[in-house]
Amino acid sequence: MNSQSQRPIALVVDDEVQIRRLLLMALEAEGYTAYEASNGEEGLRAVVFRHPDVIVLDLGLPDMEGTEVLRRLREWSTVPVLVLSIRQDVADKVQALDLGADDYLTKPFHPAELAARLRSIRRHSPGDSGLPVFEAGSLRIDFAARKVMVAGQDVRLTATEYALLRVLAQNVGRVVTHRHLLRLVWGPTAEGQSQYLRVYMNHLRKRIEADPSQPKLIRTEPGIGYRMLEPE
Amino acid sequence: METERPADTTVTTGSRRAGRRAACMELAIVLGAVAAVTGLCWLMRDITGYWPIAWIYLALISFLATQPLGYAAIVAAAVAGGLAWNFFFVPPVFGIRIKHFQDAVVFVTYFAVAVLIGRLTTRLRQRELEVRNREHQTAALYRLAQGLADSASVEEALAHATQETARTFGTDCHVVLAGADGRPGPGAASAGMRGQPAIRWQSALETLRAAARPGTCAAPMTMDGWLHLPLHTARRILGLMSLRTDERGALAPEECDLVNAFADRIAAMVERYDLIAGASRTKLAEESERVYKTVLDCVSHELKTPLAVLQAAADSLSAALEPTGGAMHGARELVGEIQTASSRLGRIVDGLLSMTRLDAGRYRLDPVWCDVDEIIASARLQVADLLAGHDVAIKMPPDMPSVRVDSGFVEQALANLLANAAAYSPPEARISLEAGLVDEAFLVLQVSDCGPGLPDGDTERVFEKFYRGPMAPPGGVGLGLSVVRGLMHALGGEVTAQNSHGQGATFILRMPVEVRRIPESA
Repeated sequence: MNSQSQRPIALVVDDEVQIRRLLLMALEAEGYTAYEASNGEEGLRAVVFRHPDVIVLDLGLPDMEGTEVLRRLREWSTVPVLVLSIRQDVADKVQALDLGADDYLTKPFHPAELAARLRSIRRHSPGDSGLPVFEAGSLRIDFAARKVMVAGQDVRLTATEYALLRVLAQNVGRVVTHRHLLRLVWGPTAEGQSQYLRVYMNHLRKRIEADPSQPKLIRTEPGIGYRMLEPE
Repeated sequence: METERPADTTVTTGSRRAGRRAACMELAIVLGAVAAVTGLCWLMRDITGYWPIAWIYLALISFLATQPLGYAAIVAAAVAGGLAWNFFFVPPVFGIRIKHFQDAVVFVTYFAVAVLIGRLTTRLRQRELEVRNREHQTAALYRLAQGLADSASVEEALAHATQETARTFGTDCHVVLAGADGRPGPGAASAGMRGQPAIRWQSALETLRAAARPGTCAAPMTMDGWLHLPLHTARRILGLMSLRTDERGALAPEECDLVNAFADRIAAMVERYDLIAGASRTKLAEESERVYKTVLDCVSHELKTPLAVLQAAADSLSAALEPTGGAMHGARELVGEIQTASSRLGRIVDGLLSMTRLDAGRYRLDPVWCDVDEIIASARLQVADLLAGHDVAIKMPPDMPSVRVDSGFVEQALANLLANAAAYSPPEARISLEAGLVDEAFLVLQVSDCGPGLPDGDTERVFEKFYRGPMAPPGGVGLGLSVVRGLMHALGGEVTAQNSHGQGATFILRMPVEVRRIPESA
């Protein structure tokens, strides 16, 4: 066994050779063993042969849309996927996230941010509630006792507010779309009711954020959803 | 109402006078014929005896019945013949008394047969006339339909329609199509015109429109010596067909049916051309939309990919240089220059692409419910690097409700205003941002800076493309504010600029939004 085999494996699926080269260098520098694929078919094959720990996926591929790659991949794999695309439309982001992408980053991007996002989505698989206690900054959630503390003070939350907070904490570092949040907290019939989500989110922020107008714990991704920020 | 008088009442008054003249003429003809036959029979009365003469009269009546004469004329001929036979030939001659029973039988039989023959033959002829009329109408309609089908354009079809109508009805004809606003539109044609027609289209059209109750068709009407027929479909009046009736006299009832059929055909033709034109317009728009989107996506991809490579490479290089402590002389500064230049280039490319999309109308609004503080937060995040070192003071009513608007557009506009304010403000200067609702229907966002303010008269020009203020800091192409204006126009709002009372400039965004207040206890 050489030291290479201990390193996490990353797969880059992108048709632009310069972007691929750059990502490969950046990922190698971050300690990954990185492989590349230049189209969707090749990418899906590489997932089978290389067993990557994380995938960086472009949306505009020559042979099929990146969303199609995602759809096919999610039929049999839960490997974390970060979508890296030129497309800035909120609709594209929401679609990719709803299809099972773990995060979304637009080009141009900062390699350091990419690395941080990859770390984040690798560390926590979605809905991971393995830990009985969650801590981020001044926030502390005791899942077993259903207790929330901010800066050492007990905070009383309603059942809905607690459910919202729990879902976001269990997906810390990744975007949770409005649809997903509504489904998990209110049930499948509530999927279109994002205005209620906003109201509850405002209430929640008033309880846990030091300055609700400049949130430090839960960031809004406009038109997409919310993200619990990773503790520094 | 005078103008709403149905066409066929004028038809009867017109034709009654002409009918009386024709009846007198017919009467003269049949009486002349009876007189001539009487004279002839007088000469042969000694050879034939008087009974066969009744048969000769009967033959005359039968002959007259086959001629294009009215039933009344035939009856008149029968009466005149009977009386003449009785008076001149039946003994006693020159007296109307009938002496013998046999003569009376012949006399009565003669009358019965004569009237019967007259009745039968005129009915037969009437049938024939109707058939011929129908054939004539069918032929006219067929010619019209054929001509309409052969026409390549609506203008050609209209020209043909007016010619055919003028020929069929023997009068002037004019067709005018109503434009989208209800006024006479671009399509018009006339045939058989002597001089310029003095037709009051507008008032005729308006009268027809007013007369047409919802769900019913407007009836033809006579005005100024013209018969006006609406060209209508089930939904609306497409135009007007006018026939001159002051010279030729009003139309006969069967002609009215025919002219209505003409109007229906012409209306159907006009509607068909309308639909074809609409369909091809839609198709063309879709096609150009698709091509444009492809080109724009392609250009966007081709410009942004190398920029992304450049930026990411500079970032990585910067990170790689970190541990060396800038071993290479000036290397870190050089990388910093590359990073600054590439992010500046990125902003310019973004501005140009946004401007192109907005100019060409290639965008789709996607209004969603959102909170104004969210929009402000993400706009600030977008230009966080430019705002570094500036103090942004936000003022917003505490009970600001959710609004429904395309948040991406508002966010972009606000980010551009903040970037603009940061560029013109001295370092560390305060930028204030105020948000509020007006009339519960308009969202107003106001950004004020402490910069030099706007030169006099530049409150409009600052929004022009590539306009750069005299105090503009280097680095920028003057697109930011024109993009803001484009975004606001797309949202149905506006952006205005003014100098603040103290110092600096104030930019005000105002856009219509839907507002929803949800009870706090929800």
